[in-house]
Amino acid sequence: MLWYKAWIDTRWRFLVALALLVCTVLGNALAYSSVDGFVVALAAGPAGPLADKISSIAQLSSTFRGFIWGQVIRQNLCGLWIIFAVLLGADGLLSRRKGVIFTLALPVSRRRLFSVRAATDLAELFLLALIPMLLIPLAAPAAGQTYGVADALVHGISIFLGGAVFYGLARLLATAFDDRWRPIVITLAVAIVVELCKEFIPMPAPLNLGGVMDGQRYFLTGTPAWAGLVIWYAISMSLLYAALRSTEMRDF
Amino acid sequence: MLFRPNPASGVPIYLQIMEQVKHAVETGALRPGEQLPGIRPLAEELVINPNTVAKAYRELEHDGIIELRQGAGAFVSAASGAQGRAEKFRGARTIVAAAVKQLRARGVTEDEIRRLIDAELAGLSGKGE
Amino acid sequence: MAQSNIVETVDLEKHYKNVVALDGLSLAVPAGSIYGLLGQNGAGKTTAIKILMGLVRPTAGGAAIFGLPADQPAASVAIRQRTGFVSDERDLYDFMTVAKLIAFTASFYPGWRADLAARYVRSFDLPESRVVKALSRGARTKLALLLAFCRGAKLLILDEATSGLDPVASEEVLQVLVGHVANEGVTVFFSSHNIAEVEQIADHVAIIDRGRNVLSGALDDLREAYRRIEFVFDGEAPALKFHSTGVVRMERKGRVLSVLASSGSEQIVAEGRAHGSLSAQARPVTLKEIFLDIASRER
Repeated sequence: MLWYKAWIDTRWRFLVALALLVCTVLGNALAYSSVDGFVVALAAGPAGPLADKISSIAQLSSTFRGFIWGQVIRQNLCGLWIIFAVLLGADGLLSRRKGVIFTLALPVSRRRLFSVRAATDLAELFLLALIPMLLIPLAAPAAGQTYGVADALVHGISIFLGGAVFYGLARLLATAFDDRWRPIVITLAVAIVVELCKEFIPMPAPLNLGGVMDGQRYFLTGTPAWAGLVIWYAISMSLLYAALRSTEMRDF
Repeated sequence: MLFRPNPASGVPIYLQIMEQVKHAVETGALRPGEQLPGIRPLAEELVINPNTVAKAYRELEHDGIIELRQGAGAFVSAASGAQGRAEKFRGARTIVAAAVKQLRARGVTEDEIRRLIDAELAGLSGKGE
Repeated sequence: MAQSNIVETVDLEKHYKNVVALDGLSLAVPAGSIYGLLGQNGAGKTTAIKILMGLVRPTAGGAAIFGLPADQPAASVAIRQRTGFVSDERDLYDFMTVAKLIAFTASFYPGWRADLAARYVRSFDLPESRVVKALSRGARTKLALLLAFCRGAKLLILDEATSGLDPVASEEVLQVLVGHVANEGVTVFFSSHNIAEVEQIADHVAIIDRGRNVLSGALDDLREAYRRIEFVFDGEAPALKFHSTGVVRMERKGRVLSVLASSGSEQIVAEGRAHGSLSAQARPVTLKEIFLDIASRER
C-alpha cells in the first residue's frame, strides 16, 4: 500500500507535467515547417555577437534534428523537466505536513518509506523524460520529417540521468528545511546557474552538467557522454542517500 | 444495576463497589444465590477499569460475601445467612438512628454517645444476675 | 528490565535547542494495566510518547517496549507492529475516505481485526465514504481510535484521547476503550491533562512535571496512603516539626493546622495529638488535590 500512497501523492503533478511536456514537445515539433522559413530569413540579417548567436541557433534549426535538439530539448524540455524534478523532490512523503506522524507510526522503517517514495518519483521522472522524447519519432512524419528512435532514447535517458541530481538536491534540502519553498528556490537557482554556464561558459564535458543533460556531445559527435552521465547520476544517488540518512536521524 | 462510583471522592473505586454490593446484600436487593453482573459488562456499563471490578469481586469473595464460580460468574454467597442478617440489621439500624437523633437533640456529642454505649454494653455483660 | 512491564523508561532525557523536554523520566507500565500519564501542557507527555513510538530520538537514557529498545529502528518497527497509537493531533490522511484509510491501515497489520473494525464503524457511526478532512472533531478522534484498536495490538498508546471532545463523545470514547480492554486484554498507556478521566479508568498513574516523574504508583495505593489531616488547636496552631517522613505539606490558618500526608497518617495524627491538638480529622485526598499540590509546589 506504500506504493499506492506514493502514487496518489504524486499522480496529479505527474499527469500535469506529462501533459505539459508532451504538448510543448509536440507543439514545437509539429510547428517546424513554419519555423523553417522564418529561420532562413533570420539568418540573412545583420552581423554582431548577438546576431552571431541568433544565426548559430538558426543554423541548427535548418535541420529537423538540429531544431529538435536546439529548441525543443535544450530550451524547453530540459527546463520544464528540471522544474518538475525539483517540485517532486521538494515534497517528500516525510516532509513536514499532515499525515507524517501517522505514516511514521506505521510498522515500516523510515528507510523503506523513503525508498518507496524515491523509487516512485524516479520512475515518474524517467517517464517524463522518455515519453515526450519517444513521441517525436512518432509525430515527426506529420511535420513531414523523420527523427531517429535512437536519438530519442539517448536524449531521453540523458535528461533523466543527468537531471536526477536536481531531484536529489531538492530532496536533500527538503530534509533540512521545514518549509516547501526554500528547497525549490535554492535548487532552481542552482539549475539556472547551470543553464547559464552551459550557454556562456565553455567547460570540459563531465563538468558541464547542462551539456550532459541535453546530450550535447551525442548530438555533435554521435557518442553519448557516458562518463558525465554516470558521474552525475552517481552524485544524485549520493544526494539521495544523504537525504535518507537525514530523514532517519530526524525528530518529528 | 450498580450505581456509578465517584472517581473523584478520594475513596478507591473498588471499595465503593464493594460497599454497594454489601449494601445491596444487606437490604435484600441482592439475595443469596443471585448472580452479580459480569466483570467485563459491569466495567463497560460503569465506564471504569475492568481490573478495578475484578479487584472488588476478589475482595468480596475474600470477605465471604460472594462466590466466584469458574466460567459461570459471581454469585451472592448462600452460606452467609445474608437474608436473616439483612432483616435483623434493618430493624437495628432504625433503633440506633432514632436514639442517636434524640441524644443529639439534647446536645450530647459524638464521643459522649460512644462512651455511653460502651458503658451500657460493659454494664450489660457485667450484670450477670 | 522486569518482564511484566510492557513499557519501561529509565532516566529518559530529551534536550532540544533551548528547552529540556525530558529531564530523567523513569516509569514502568505493568502488563494489563491502564496507565495514566498526568501532567500540565508542556510537561513532557507528548515527547515521552513520541520517543516510545520511535518518532523522536532520546538525548540520553533508555526506553523499552515489550523489552525492545525504542530508539533502534529495527526494534522500533517491531514495537509498532504490536502497538496502537493515537497522536494528540489526530494525524490522519485528510484526503482519503474513511473506508480507504481503514483498508490502507489494515494492509500493514497481519493481525488486523476486520470484525472489530466493522463493529466500531457501526457503533461510532462513521460515514465510510466521507473524506477524512470532512469529519467532525469527534468523528476524527473515533476514527483514529478505531485504527488503533483494530490492528491486533497488545499495547495502546493514546495521547490526549478525549481532548476537544464534548462530554458525551468523551464518555463514549472511554466506554469503548474500557470495553476493548475488558474484551481484548490489552495494556493502555494514555496521557491526559484531564484528571477526572484518569481517576475514572486508570489503575496506575504517573504525574510528570517538567520532564520528570514526580509521583507514580497504583492509583488505589495512592488513594489509601494519601490523607489530608486537620488539627485544631486551642490558640494559634504551632509550626510542628513532624518526625514522620510522609508529610508533604503543612499549612497553618489560625487555629487549624492542615497536613497533606503521602503516608503514615496514623503516626502523624498521634504526633499532632501529642502536641496538644484538640481534634484530628483525617480524610481521603483526591488525585486532583495531589496534582494541584505538586503543580503549585514546583512554582
